[in-house]
Amino acid sequence: MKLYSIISDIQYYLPSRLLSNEDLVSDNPDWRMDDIEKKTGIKNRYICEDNQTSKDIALLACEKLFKNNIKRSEIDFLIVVTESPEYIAPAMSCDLQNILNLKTSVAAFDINLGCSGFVYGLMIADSILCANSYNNGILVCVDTYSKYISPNDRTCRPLFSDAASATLITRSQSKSVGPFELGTDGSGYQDLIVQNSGTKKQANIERNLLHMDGGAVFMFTMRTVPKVVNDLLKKEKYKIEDIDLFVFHQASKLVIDNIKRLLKLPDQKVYENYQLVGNTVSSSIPIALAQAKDDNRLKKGSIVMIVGFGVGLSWGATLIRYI
Amino acid sequence: MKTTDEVILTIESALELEKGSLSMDTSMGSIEQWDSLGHLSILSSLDILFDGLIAPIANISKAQSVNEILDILIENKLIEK
Repeated sequence: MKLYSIISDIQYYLPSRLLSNEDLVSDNPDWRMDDIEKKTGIKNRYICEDNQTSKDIALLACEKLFKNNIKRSEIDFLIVVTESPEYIAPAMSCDLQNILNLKTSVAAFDINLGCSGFVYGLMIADSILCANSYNNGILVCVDTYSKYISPNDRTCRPLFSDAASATLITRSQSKSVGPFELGTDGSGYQDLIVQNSGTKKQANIERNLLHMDGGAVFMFTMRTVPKVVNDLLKKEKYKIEDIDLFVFHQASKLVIDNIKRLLKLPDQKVYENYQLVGNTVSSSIPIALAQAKDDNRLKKGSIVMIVGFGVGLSWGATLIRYI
Repeated sequence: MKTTDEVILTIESALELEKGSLSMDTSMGSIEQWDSLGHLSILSSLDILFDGLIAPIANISKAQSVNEILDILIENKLIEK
């Protein structure tokens, strides 16, 4: 019998500390906040406390899963997508396996990807469930970019939130996830980079700060996202009308508006939550899926296309059928 | 084919500037409105003006002045010299 995977549950955690536009202008009186809000669309961000780490918030997201219908002993693998781990070694997934009291037969590993990471993680989870005797896995996406952003960085600080999500993926007899379209253009690796964050040290850079060439990343998005959407539609012989909801990485208003323009997507087919959540990097799509479900935008039979894109430069898209 | 004037008007509109505010030498950072977000507005507005032909031009995001933008558009045969 052919095996498939299904997303059984998505939980997420947003830190309690809010960073409003008023807070930003208070820190940076020369910022034209009206203009920034108009272009980014973002009114609020969630930021970890100084002593709160990616592992701390990942743990809180995972614990929410266990309050529902899954037992710790039923988890067979744990994948963590993060670019803000507590340590380069060991993998955060190993630490989480122990803290979450998961069995030691759990397969645990990390993936170093950002805004495309949920789609990559989902593909790997789907592959594991389709090929093995495993029944359940958790895909954690967690990033705390605020730790890498200078308080005066007008390009990055208005955009990014810290967040964690935990997605329960289960073996199924019905096809719910896929196919996948993935891609990479490493020629743009310096366009979105945390410098001095690994073994390569640049003496002229004070500490490990996020650098984003906004123009280059924006143009990459404009070139790539419409193509990947059309390629995925073609793969399944679908048209845009066949998709009930598009959930793009919640980069910013300017990015989402331009994707809608290029693909001629009506507003009601595109889910947007960046206004109040901000850009949560790898958790952006799972949080949007969870909120879309809470908002009754997803129901049995819905076909959703998710598209992640960003640091790498990397992208991924897939279809999710709600069964 | 669009004209240089249409391009300059589009940049002024993207930056919410009065007509005639920009010169060929105006560059990113030289006016308050042309910051990193203003730059994205310019790129988006030009892509609308040229009906999607701007997005495939990889180096246009690196253009830092009106002159540099016009040079790239000429190079890509989107406006006449």
